[in-house]
Amino acid sequence: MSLEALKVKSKTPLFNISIILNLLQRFWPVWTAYFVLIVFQLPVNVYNQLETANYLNQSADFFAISSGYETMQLSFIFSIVSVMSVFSHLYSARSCGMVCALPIKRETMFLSCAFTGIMPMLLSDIVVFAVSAVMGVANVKYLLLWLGITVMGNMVFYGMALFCACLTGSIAILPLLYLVLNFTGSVVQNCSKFIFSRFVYGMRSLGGNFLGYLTPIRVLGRHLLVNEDAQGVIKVAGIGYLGVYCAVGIALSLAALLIYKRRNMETAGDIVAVKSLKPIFKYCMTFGTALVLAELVCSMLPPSVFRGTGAAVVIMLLMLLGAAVGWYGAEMLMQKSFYVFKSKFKGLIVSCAVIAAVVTGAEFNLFGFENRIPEPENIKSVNLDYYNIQEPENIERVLQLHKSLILSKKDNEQLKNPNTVIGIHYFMNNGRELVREYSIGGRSDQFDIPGSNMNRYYEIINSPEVIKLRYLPKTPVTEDNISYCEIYENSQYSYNQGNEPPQSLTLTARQAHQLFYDCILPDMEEGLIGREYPGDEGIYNENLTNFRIQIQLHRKIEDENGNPVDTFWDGFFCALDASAKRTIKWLNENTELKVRTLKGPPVDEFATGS
Amino acid sequence: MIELRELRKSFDGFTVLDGLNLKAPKGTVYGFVGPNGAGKTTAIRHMVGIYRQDSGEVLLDGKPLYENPELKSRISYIPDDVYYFPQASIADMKDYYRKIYPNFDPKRYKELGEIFNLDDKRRMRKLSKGMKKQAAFWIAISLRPDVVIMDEPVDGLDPVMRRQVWSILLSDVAERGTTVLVSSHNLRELEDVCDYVGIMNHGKMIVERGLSELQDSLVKIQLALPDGEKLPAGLEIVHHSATGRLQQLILRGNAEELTQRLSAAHPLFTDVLPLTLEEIFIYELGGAESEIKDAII
Repeated sequence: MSLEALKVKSKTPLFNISIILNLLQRFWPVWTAYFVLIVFQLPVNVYNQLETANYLNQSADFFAISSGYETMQLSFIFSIVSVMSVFSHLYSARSCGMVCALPIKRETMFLSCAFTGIMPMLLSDIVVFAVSAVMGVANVKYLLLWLGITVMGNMVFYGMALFCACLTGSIAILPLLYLVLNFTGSVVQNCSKFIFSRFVYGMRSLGGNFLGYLTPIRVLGRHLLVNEDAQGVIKVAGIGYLGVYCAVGIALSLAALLIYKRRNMETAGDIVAVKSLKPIFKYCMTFGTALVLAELVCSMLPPSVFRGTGAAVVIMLLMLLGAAVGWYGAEMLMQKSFYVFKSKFKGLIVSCAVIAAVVTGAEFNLFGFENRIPEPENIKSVNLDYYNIQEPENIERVLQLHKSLILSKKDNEQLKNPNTVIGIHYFMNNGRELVREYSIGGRSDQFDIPGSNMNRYYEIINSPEVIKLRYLPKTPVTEDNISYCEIYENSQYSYNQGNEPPQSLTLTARQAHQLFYDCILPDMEEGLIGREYPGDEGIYNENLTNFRIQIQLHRKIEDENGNPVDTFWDGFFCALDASAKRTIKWLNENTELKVRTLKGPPVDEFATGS
Repeated sequence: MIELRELRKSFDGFTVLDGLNLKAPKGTVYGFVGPNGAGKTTAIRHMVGIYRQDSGEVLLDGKPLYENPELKSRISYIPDDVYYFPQASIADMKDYYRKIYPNFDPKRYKELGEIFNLDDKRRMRKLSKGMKKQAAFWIAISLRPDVVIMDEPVDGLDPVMRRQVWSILLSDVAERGTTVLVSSHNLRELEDVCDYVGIMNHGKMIVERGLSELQDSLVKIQLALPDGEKLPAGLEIVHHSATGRLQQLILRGNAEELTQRLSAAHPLFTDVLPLTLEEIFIYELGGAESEIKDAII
C-alpha cells in the first residue's frame, strides 16, 4: 500500500459527532428507560431482597451478582430496541437516501450509530455500578463482577442485534429476525426431536444437543450460576460461557460492519437486504416451516395416534406441506406479493426430496440410529433412568436390556398406551454420549418372565447397587447424626381404614441406628427393601406394606477453625417392602405396629419371600 | 463536472440503468429528462452516492464519487420526496447539516431566511409540502455547494417561489460556477433555465447536447408542394403529417441547409417553425411515445 493511500485511510474518522449527538437527542428515552430499570435491578433489588423473604440469609454480594443475569435479560430486550432506533434510517427509502447522501463514509456512519446505541447502555451500567459502590450496596469486588457480567451481556445481545439490523431492510422484520437468531437453535432442536421421536424408535423427545448452544439467553440462564456457601463464599459458574458468547457478539458486530459497508441501500424496505442471503432465507423458511407445522399438528394429537410407520407417513406429508408453505411464504415476503406461484420451484422440489429422504431414511433405519448400541469396553457408565450405573455386570445387563428393547420394536410401536418409559444414557470413555428412550407397556405379569423387557428392567432397577444409589444417604448414619426417626402408616392404606388415626412410632436415635444397621442395610444389600415396581398397580399393592420409614440426619458444617457454621440435612426415606424380612421382623418384635401389604393381608416374617 | 460512464444497475434482475453515459459540465444547468421509469431517479441516487453501481463509473471532477466524503460534501441533493427527522425543526436540520458540511454558510442561511420567510423554529412535520421544499432549498443552498442535484425540485412550489428559487440558483451558477443538475417533467420550465439537456429512456441516454444545439438539430417545416413534386431523397424525417396539400415535417438537420434542399422540389410555400423542448423530447423519444401522442390528438 502506498504512503498516500495510508494517509487517505487514516483520514477516515471513526465517528461522526454530529450523527452521535443527533441520535442521542432523538432516542434518549430508550436509554433512560434502560438506566431506570437497571437501577431497579441492582441497588433497589438488592435492598429489597435483603429486607424481604431472605430466608436463606444470603448476602448483598450474592444478590448483587445474581442480578447480573436479570440485567442480561434487560440487555436482551434493550439491545434490539436500541439498534432499531440508531439504525432506523436503514428501513425507509427516504431516510436511507437522506443519510447515505451525507458526506460520511459507511464505516464512520456504522460505527457512529453502533457506538451511540451501546454507549448509553454501558454508561448506565458504569453509573449504576459506581453509585452502588458509593452507597455500599455490596462489596466492590462483587459489584465489579456484576458490571463485568452486565457489560458482556450487552456485548452479546447488541452484537446479535447489530448483525440482524444489517441483514434486513424492514424494521418490522428486524425484531423477528433477532428472536429467530436467538431461539432458532432451541426451536429446531426441540421440534426435530419431538417430531422424529414419534417414529424413530428409541429417540428421546426432549433433551439437548449442540443446537441448544445457539440460544445464549437459555444457555446462560442454565450455566451462569451464583452460589453462596455457609461461610459466605460466593462462587460464580459459567463466566466462560459468557466469555465465548461475548466473543461471538463482537464477531457478529464486525460481520455487521462488513455487511453494512457492502449493503445496497436500495434494499430499504426489503425483507432480506443482502442478495446472497436470499436463498438461505428461503431454505430456512422452507425447512423451518416444515418442522414447525409438523410439530404443531403432532402436539395437538395424543402420542398414541402417531407411532411407527404410520406416523412417519403423516409427518412426512405434514413436513412437505410445511415446506411448500415456507417456500411460497418466503417468496411472498421477498417479492411483497401474494402472486408468487409462478416463480421457480426447483428449490422446493429439492427441499421436499431432502425431507422425504430424511424421513424415509430415519423410519427405515438407514442411518443405523435404531440399532446403535455401544461396545461394552467403550462405556464409562450408564444412566438407567436417573441412576448412574458403573458396575460392569450391571452395565452388561443394561446392554442386554437395550438389545432386547431393540428386538421388540414392532411390539412396542404398536402399543396404544405405553405406561413405562425407560431412559438409557451412555457415557463413553471418549466423552461422547448416546441417549435412547423407549416407551413400553409394563405389565406386572411380565416381571417373572425371564428375558422379557420388564423382567430385565425390573432386575436392574432392583439390584442392590441401584437400590443403594436410590436410597442410601450421603451422611453417615451414626447416633449423633440421627435427629429424628419415624415409622408411620400411609394414611391412604391405613390398617384401621379410617376408624382410628394412622399408626406411627417415633424411635430413639439408638433404636433407629440399630434398625438401620441390623435390618434395613442387610435387607438393602439383598435387594429386599427399596424396590421399585414399574407398570401397573397390581404388583405394587402386593409388594409394598402400609408403612414408611423416615430417618432424618444432620451434619454440622464447620469453618477452618472448627466452629460450626451451618447444618447439612440429609435422610433415609423409604416405603417398607413386604420382602424386607429383617426390618419387618424387627418391627413385629419391638413394636405394636400392624404391618400388612397394601393389598390387605398382614405380613409376618415367615410369609415374606426374598 | 459530473460524469457517468457506462453506468449499469439492476434491481432483482430488472435492468434500470443500461450503460448510461452523462456529462454535466461545470457551471451549467443540466436538464435531465425522460419518461416515467426511464431511470432518472436511480441515476441521480448514484450521482449523490446513495446507490453503488453494478458497473461503470460515477465521477465528480474526474474522481469516483462513491464513498468519497470530500467530493460528496460539495454536493447538495434535493430529492423528490424530502425527508427530515420527524421531530426536527428547520433550525435543528440546519444545525445537523452545518456540523456535517464544512462549507455551510451561516450568513447565507440568515440572508435566505428573509427570502423564504419561514419560521425556522417550526417542526418540519407541521409544514406543508411546498414549505418543506422551500426549507430543503434554504438548507441546500446554504451549504454553498459546487453541485446542486435536484429531483423534481419545484414540484409543490408556487410560481413566485419557483422563480425565486431559480433566481438564486442561476446567480450561483453565474457567480460561483455552481453546476446544477435538475430532473423534471416540467420541460417548459427547463427550457428557460437549462444550458444542457440529457434525454434518457430505458436506462440509456438517447441524446445529450446543449439546449440551443439540440434545438438546432431538429427542425419543424411546413410546406406545400406542387402536384407531381416529391420530397427530395435523403432527408432524415423524424415525423411526417399532411393535411391536404400542406405537409408538416420534423427533420433532423440544420434549418438553412434543409430549406435549401427542399427548394429543389419547388415548394409553393415553406415555413420553418422553432421546436419547443417538449416537442424535441417527444420526437427524440419517437416510437411508442409519439404514437400515443398521435392517438390522443
